[in-house]
Amino acid sequence: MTAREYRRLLGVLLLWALVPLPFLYIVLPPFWLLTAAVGFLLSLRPTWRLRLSVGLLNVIGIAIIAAVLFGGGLHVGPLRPLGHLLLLLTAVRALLVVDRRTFLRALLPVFLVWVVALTSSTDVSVVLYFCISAAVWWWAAMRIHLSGLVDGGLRIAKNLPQPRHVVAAATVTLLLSIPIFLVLPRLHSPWIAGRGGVSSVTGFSSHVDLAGVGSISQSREVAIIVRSVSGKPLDPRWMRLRATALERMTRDTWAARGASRVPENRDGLIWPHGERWSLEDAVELEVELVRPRRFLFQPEGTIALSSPVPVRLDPSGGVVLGRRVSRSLTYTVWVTRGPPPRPTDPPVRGQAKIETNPEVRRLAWDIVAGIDKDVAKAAAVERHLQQNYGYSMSGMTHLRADPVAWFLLRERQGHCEYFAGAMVALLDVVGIPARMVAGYSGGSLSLAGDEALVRQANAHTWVEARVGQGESWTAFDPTPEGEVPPLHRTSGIDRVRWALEWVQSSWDRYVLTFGLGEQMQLISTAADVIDFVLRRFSGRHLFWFVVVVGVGFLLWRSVRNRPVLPSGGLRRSRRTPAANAVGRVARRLQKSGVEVPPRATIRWIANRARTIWPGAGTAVGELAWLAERELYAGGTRRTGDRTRVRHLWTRAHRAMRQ
Amino acid sequence: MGFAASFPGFRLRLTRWGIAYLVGSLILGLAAVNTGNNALMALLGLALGSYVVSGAWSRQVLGSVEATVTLPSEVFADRSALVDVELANTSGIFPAYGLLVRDGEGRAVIFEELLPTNARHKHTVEVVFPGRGWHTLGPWRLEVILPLGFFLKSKALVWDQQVLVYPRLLANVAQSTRRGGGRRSPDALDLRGREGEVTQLRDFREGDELRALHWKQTARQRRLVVVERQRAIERPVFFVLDPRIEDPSDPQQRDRFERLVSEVATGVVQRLRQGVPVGVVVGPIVVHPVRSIRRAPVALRPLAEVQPQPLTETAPAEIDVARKMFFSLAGGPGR
Repeated sequence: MTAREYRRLLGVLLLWALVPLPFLYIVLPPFWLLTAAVGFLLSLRPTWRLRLSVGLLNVIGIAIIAAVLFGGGLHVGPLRPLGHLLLLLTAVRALLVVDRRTFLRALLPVFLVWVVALTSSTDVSVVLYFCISAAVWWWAAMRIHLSGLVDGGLRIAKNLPQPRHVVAAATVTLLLSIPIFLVLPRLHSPWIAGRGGVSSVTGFSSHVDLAGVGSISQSREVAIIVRSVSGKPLDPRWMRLRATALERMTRDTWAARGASRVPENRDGLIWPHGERWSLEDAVELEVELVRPRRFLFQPEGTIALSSPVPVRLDPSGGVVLGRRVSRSLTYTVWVTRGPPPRPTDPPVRGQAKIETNPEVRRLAWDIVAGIDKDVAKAAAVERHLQQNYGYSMSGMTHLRADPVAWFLLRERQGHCEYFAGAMVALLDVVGIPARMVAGYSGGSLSLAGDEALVRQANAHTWVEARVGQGESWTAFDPTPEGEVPPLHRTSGIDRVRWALEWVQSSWDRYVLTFGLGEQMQLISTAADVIDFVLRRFSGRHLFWFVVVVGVGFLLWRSVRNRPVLPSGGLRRSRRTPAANAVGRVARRLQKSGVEVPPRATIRWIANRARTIWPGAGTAVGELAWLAERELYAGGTRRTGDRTRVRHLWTRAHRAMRQ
Repeated sequence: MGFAASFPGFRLRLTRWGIAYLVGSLILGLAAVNTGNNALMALLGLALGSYVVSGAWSRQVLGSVEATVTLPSEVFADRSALVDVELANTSGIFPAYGLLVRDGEGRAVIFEELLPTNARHKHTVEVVFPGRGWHTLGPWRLEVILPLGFFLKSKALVWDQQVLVYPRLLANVAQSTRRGGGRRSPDALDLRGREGEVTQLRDFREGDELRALHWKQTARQRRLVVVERQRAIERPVFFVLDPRIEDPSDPQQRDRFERLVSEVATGVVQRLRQGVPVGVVVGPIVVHPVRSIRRAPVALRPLAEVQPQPLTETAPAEIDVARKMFFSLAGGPGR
């Protein structure tokens, strides 16, 4: 390959690597636009070369560092500035390609760009990109290797490697990658970004990490299905499902209090609020938890609950599973039609809460200035947050030291955990006990309205403050109203949307969030299948199965290793009519009692046929000549004239029969 | 068929690219396991899958590609001979990309960018055999590095054919055969002067006498043109080679012997080209006169196979002909 071809190939690969970036927030548009411009330049004008002196390269290096610093983005994690740096370095490296060596050097950053773009995508459409990428990289790698073999000498053909070969190889590779993907160990490392062995409540963990990236709400995986047992429509009020309250606070982490050690099961029912209620007026709902983790989720207004597995209660009314459940879990809840019951458990005493930033303290007192009652103070804080702060799923980082102060004073945007965390902190400053509540909100109602799908995207946190009557906890939701996951009612067109969402949900469920639990489940399923097979089929069945498979294998081997005449064309082939005709002559010889050796040549067959059937000599000779031309014409394989071959064969065959 | 039969002399070498790929996969694996990012896991799956597919493909290609060689009918030592090598892909599934055949000295002599399934391509390779005698071609190796170049896999190409390489032809033997030095040339007188009818003018060939040059035509056509004459009487000439030397283990004497054999072979070829029947006597072997250049291998074969003998061996067979040329390092014919 010439330098021009190398540059064009690199440009194409670079553009392909950049495809997902416009749809992601990982890098800012100026950076990927600049790199794309370089890709286009290399692809369309590969002859254009950039000659840079060492001094100018140094200046460009400084400019790159300055651009990365100016681009910033550390607040969304180190990946953004690193991505900017990578893109700019790749662009410069690609421009400097002049030969194979520099091309190979530039290939690595292009590959890294592709990896970053691919691994930052969560949408199901990335599957298509991934599959096409497999073929693109296979093609590129084969072409690069082919050109490496002949560099400085011959030039390889433009159509190599052939696309059908590449597609076949990529397809087999992708199919092979599925079992590899399934068996790769899913271990959350203690080194990087791991959340250890913390079990999950909503989406990721049983504690809320304010500094975490809120990718929960981006997942459309179905988490809970709520059904009305009576078939009557669900009340939208019930569609706020509570797991538990998070009261144990550190600087940026909120966790639930420990549950009791005694399994809770009185009269076959669990009473989350301690007291027994009359179930006569209550509505019975069935809740299916697709991936049970630690808590059962209770629709708002739940007064009683019946679970098929042992459960325990925590002080705030959270229902904790007594043991690990590997499959989906269905349980029954009874919700009241009247005002929902409020938790009355006492707040945590003697535990230091957040060491609040002085400016945050000032802000808290400013918000509640002139207000006497606690309820009004809590409502003022809630209103302040709803009206003065924006909702955003991006912009979070693990590097932030005090996420609440950062949210309240600087960034002024975040997701529901930031709003809830900030409200708890502000109420804490003014002396009102408050806690964060984790759960789900909203969902998608079925057409009949008796069933609702709650997705991971519906994960939500809100606040309970101990204000109002009877020392009970009152719920507040400081997240802007439009950003609280809503309850949709399904229309006809929604079915299409549901189908698409099902695809996305399956992608999220079985690929993006595939983990150790799913691996265990797979092993368990495989064990069940083996057990079923062993129980269903006796030893005799298995014996015959092995026999049939063995015989099939032997037959296949015998067919595969059948003696073949050296000229491949003697086997039946549409492309070699004359060779096929010579093959027929060979078979005629065998029928006449002449032993045709496995390695017989065309000329041998023709000569032997001439001696036995002198009348067919001329025709057979011509057929042999045509067959040799067909088979030994090298790369430019020529096939004989079919009409002529047929005529010759008719003559030869007639002479053989006489 | 066993592995050794399918892959004679199998060699496997990890390439630099393969090492880089392995290290990259390892880093990718660490990143995937650490972060739990399933996209990285999928990438790792793809990387490992590619590794397996590439390995299986190249192995199948190496096993299914066969090479057959067709040697030329006449091969002279120290001269390039054109050898036909046919590569055949017997696999019905795997096309063979990037096949490389290296000769015994490691030079790439054949490059096949794509050999489709069930296809065969013929290549012509220039080969030079340094010495006369029976030779086998090789050891040549078939190398496969594609599709993804992680490993360089190769196997030896086993040729079951042997080629008889005739002695080296000398450019200036015409003069040496006419000179003295113990070589008696009974027909030297016949060669003196120009005689016979002019049959044709033709291009100069190696071994032609300079005095046969047709200078006018040479000047006119700006290439060497010689006059070919038909001798009036074509009596056969016998070349008698005495294979005895004083010390067959002495390299110097062996070199001189080889030179002598080359002189005889050159003389035989020249005479046959001139249309003179030539017989050869090598030790006890007597080859009766051959009359055509096409039959030259009959006369050259004993010259290709002859080995120096000690003086205790018997002298060359006596033949009773008028025209014979005697070649010996051991002295006269009677010794």
